[in-house]
Amino acid sequence: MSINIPYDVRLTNLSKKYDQNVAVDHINLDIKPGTYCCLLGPSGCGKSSTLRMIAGHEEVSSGEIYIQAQNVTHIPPSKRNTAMMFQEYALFPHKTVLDNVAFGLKMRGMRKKQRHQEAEAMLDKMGLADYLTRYPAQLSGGQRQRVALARALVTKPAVLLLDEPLSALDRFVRLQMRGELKRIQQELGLTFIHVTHSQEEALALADLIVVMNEGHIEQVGSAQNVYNQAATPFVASFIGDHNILHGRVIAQDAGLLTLVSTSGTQQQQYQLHGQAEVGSSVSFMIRADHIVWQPEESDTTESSRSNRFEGRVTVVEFAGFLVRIFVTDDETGQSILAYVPHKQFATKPIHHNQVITLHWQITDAVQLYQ
Amino acid sequence: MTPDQLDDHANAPSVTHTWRTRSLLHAARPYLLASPFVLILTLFLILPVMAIVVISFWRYSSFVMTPDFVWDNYKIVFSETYLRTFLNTFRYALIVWCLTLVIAFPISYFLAFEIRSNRMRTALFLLCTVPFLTSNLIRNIAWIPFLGRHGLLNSGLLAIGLITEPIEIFLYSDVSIILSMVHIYTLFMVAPIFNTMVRIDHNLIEAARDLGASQWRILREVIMPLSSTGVMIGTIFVVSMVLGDFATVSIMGGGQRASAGLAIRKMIASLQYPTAAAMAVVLLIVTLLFVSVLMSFVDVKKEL
Repeated sequence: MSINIPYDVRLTNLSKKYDQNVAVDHINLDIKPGTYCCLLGPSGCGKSSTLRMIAGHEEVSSGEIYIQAQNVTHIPPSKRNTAMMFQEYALFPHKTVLDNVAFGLKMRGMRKKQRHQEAEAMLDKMGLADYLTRYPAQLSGGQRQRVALARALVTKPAVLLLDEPLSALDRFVRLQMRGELKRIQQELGLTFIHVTHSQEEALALADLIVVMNEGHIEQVGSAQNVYNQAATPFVASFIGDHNILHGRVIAQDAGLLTLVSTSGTQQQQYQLHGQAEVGSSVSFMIRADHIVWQPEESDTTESSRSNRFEGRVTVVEFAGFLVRIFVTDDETGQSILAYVPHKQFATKPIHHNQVITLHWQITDAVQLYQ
Repeated sequence: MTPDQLDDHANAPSVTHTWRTRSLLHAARPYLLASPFVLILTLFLILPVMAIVVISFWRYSSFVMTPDFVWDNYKIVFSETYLRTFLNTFRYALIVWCLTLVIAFPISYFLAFEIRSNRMRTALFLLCTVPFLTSNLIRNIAWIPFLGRHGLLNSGLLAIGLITEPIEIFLYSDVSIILSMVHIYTLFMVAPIFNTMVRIDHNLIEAARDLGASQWRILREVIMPLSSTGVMIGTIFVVSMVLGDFATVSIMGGGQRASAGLAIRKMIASLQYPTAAAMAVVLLIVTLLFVSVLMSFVDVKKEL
């Protein structure tokens, strides 16, 4: 049935207001069947409200929600063909693992024997066959998460909604469970909508990332797309690892913009490919790993195709296989984050307060839109 | 510090001495801290209870008690009259327990789940405790002008023509006793149930709803099992208080009704101390048995 419908979940002009505060502001979104979708954003951006509205646990202020072509805006959660996995899992502490998983089937009026059979089969799939009679308090974090997943999946929903499912786990288990979520999603071919504030999680898991900020959607795209081609300064800064620079366009030649930095007394010129009127202000981003530091300033042809940034090193941080350095231009106050491969750093160390020149290719600068 | 200096210290007798005293004090600390309470409990609970047990085996004639070991007092306690009294007391306990539970559960539910703001919830709960600003006796007596033959209730009913003659059983009857007991003891049921209910994670309710549970099923499957410890603790409070109650039965029963507590009081008034002691021992054992059975279902530590 889902084959004929181009989406599993469609939100049209969806809004949520709490008294005077707008939590979600007229968002539109289509999620294709079988997509792992991450709603990504800082706390208070409206991602949880959006998820809870899709689940039916939050009243919609205006707009509509469709799940597999059915308008579900005003129908109760259990009739939406969705299942929700709660933050901290919300397992029933007084019920065994088996009864927790069988709960949804029990509510649908299934006989005890059959519902226990189905719950057992689901738990078996999750590798929890030995824990049927345990209580949630007797399980580890990862096991609890699997029980919650089994409980949500046992009713065979079309869409699984996950509210910060990994945040209660420690780092090691989190990575493990992250892989497991993705594997289960691909095995079942279901649509997952996963709310998270961790860009790392979203980049690792999502087919579709929806970056939200202050109740609206900043960007919708694949992980690669969101990372490499951030649409707005917010996305670029939220994804991290990105430098954001601003300037005024002084020349425009066949898509090649020449900018002059507007801050401070010192003037700094940059070039990038983009679309803007002469005289307008433009923001752009450069990935921290695209910024290079060459100890020997020699190749002039290289530097003619690249932008330069000279400044004083203010932070040197060891970060495993690379070294994170901040270079600040004392005249303008502008800082740039660069990743130096550890190998290079080992042979040519960079010192605090050293004045160095950084480069990046014109093609690596990505124009941002407000 | 060099090894030589260390040796010097170890050999100095005074240093060793203070160190030893200190470690002794340290070990005794918890006992010392507990001792005032132990003393109070021993003086005012354990010794009196032991005295009661001892006296319950004594002989007595009209004005004299003689130390002895006889079962006569227990024979009186287990006579038909007093067994009836016990039975009546259990009946009060059962009825009051049922009514307080039926009243307290919805109140707690309302406070815990319907009231969204924490401040409002606390305010309403405090409101429930307002009657406790007056003493039990006064609250009992306050019912009399309301329930009496010419009381507010009867005159009201007469005025609107529902009855033609005052109804007698409103006061000095089981009705007034139970009414008053429910009035006094409901809060002891509300407080523990409310306490367990507010700690139920609201996500559990949402999860149940997400899985298709109706409001009734949520109550049955989630809220009731998770507040059962509160019900147990409330039951212990209410039942043990009703079993020992004599003031309410005395005032609201108008001397017409009997309970174990009241019987003990009457025996004391007529100087039958050993029988009163025997009755008290039996009541104590019954209450302890009941409490210990209920306690076996509750993890009290978890509730505190």
